[in-house]
Amino acid sequence: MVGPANKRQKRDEYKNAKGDKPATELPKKKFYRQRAHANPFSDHQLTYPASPAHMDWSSYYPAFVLDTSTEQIVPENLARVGTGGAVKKLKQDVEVADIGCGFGGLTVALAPLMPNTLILGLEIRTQVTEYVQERIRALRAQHPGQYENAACLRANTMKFLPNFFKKHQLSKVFLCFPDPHFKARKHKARIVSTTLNSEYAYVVRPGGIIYTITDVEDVHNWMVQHFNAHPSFERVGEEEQEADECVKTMRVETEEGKKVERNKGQKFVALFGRLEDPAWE
Amino acid sequence: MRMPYQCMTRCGDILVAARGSSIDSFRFQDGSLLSTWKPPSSQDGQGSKAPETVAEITTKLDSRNSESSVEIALDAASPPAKKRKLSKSEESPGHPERKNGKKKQNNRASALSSGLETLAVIILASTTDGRHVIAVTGEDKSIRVFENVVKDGTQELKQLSQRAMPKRPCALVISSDNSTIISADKFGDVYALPLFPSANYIKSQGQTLEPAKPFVPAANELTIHSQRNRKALENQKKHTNKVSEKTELSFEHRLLLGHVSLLTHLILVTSAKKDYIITADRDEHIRISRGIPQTHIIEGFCLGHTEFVSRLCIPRNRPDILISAGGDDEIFVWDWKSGELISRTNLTKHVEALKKKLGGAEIVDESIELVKVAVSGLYHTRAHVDDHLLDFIIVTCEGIPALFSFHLHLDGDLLQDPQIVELPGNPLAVLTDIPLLSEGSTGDIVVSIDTVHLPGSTTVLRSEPSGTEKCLMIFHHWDVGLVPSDAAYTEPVEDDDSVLRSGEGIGWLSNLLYNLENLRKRDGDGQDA
Ligand SMILES: C[S@@+](CC[C@H](N)C(=O)[O-])C[C@H]1O[C@@H](n2cnc3c(N)ncnc32)[C@H](O)[C@@H]1O
Repeated sequence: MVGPANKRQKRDEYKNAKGDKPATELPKKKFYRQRAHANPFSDHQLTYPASPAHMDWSSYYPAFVLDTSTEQIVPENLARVGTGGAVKKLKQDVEVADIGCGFGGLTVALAPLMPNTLILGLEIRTQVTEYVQERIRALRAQHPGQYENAACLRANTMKFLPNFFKKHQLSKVFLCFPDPHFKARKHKARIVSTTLNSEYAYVVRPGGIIYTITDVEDVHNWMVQHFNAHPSFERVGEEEQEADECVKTMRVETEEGKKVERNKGQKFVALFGRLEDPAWE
Repeated sequence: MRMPYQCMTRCGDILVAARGSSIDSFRFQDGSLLSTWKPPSSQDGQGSKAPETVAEITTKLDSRNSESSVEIALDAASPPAKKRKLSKSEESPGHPERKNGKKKQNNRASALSSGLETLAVIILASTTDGRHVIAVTGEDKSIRVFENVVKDGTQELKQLSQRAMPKRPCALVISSDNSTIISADKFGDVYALPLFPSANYIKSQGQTLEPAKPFVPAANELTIHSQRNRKALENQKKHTNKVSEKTELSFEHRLLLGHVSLLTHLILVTSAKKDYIITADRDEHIRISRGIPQTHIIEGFCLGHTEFVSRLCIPRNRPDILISAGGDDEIFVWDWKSGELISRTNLTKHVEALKKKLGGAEIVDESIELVKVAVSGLYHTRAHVDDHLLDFIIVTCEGIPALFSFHLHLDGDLLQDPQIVELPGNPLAVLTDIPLLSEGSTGDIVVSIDTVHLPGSTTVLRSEPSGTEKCLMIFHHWDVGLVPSDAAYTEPVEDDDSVLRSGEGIGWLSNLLYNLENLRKRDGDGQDA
């Protein structure tokens, strides 16, 4: 259940009527609201590729499709046995992930900052994901040639990050205002944990950076403790942190960041650099 | 009725097999029953009779490499698996039962309320030196370490320690130096514990990966800005936050790695002098991590399964090849270091053909439905065929009364057509690499047979059992393939089969023996809220 019937009906009406509206009109958030928490442990009827090689990105980044005539590219690592499906290749891989992107403020704000880099927002809530997708569609229509490098898809990143990204594919990962899950019993649901950090280390290349921001001091401490405890990461110094343009953007462009701003609250920022893997012991 | 054996391991010269909560030990050589261990009963408060003297361990024990074999069973009575529908007790045995009956019942709860002793052994493993056996009892989530005490021709398992894990273990292995137990649980975490708990363990030294986390109030009104967070904080205040203390384990353990999923299997492998841990989960993943002490580094994944992965197997003489299977129609063979798929072999078509052949009389449920296969065992064995030493992969599927023995080619392809060995009941566990039983025999294996359910069914009971069926069968591997042997084990006469006399007991047993199909994701599961 997504909401009371009349609410759902209004939403459906809105979405059905969308076709009549100009493509440049930004979506209305109120029709895409959804219960705050989705359980990261349940199955959700998610769709996700069996492996990164199975992922067809062409509909997400149509302007970056390698060559529309070469449709039948079978992923090399599965060529021997065949995958049953061909995917269109992109000119380049996604390199920036906004994990739990919510309504996508940061995802779209980063797009013009790094126009040659593919940015992906990942969000577990269906309605919210749809909103971001509509938002990007409208922005692309409003600003031809821009926002082609931003996209959003629905995913449970706590389970399926390696299905989307190859080893060391990403250079930046953003974890902005993650759900706090205050209760100790719920800590396993936090998007940062020592064991999950191994997966972030897997998808982020050495030299890459994990960006975190939160208004909850305990969550900040939690993230710092857990990234510090992980041998693959090292906290980035304050100077370097404040010089990073993404930090500024993350502070002001995320929806949560704006809310905190309005309430004159604190924002805790921490960045972690991905270290080289040590030699085998 | 006889309680079948749900898991087995080889401990030196001894076959160790668990039925329900008891563990029987047999001598491989002559099949004689050596001892039976039972957990301390809650009623009389005393354990299996303690040995009067601590017997010294004979060094006569065969110390040939006995690979610790691991059988797993998952907690079928807990999420994410839906509760298994069990046949109503009044349903007369032998009658077809609709597979998706609407009855819902928590077997464990009802079994407990009926006073059933439900402490089932769900995993057995042993050290390669044959000196210790490790058992996991499911209901109390405990890892129990036993000494295999052999003296003057008698043998006994003596429990040395019992450690309750935070979550139910689903798979367990012993490090190659026999010093460390590595246990994977149904919440996705993998822990390392020393084989022998150290006496002077100080709590806070516990986990390496986990930072110390003193409890501090998580937030106050000043740090909360959104409605949702404020609500969460209110919630937190209502609950006293004692959990972190409760989950603190009182014995030495290290968190090695974790998936956000249910782990189904884990294996250790050494290749080019490097140690690896390979873990499989319900969400189709096979993860390759470095071995201890660098288990936080993920080297890669083998991705391509589209259903749960339940079993992994690396032939000991070919450590670069990984075989995996689960809820998919196919068995996958990987070059696991590169993550490259080498081959896929269809299994479902063989299962389908077998079901057709066995026909309606024996295969009572599912026969018309689309055949779904849940692989319950993948075992490597080597045998001489026409004077060549060949590799075979023996596959078992939940509720399918047969062994599928595939020849593994040198290039990593599985031969498409397996030898299909029909069995008098569903196979529950297989033990390969057992000491050869007779001159000239090769590749001997032991198969545990379900003598309670009808062959081909995971729910329907046999009609009045004769009581003479053997639970353990031995096979030799001759040139023609696997052939049943005349050799047998002196299986104990069931002393207490009360478990099998009640509907609850039967449901409990069925959950214990058959829980893999529950791992399959269903349409409509976990609806987006
Ligand atoms: C508090 S919101 C923050 C949104 C956005 N980053 C911002 O700062 O405005 C956290 C978001 O993470 C999403 N989320 C939580 N768990 C997730 C998971 N496992 N995978 C993907 N998204 C998740 C939630 O649905 C929610 O939209």
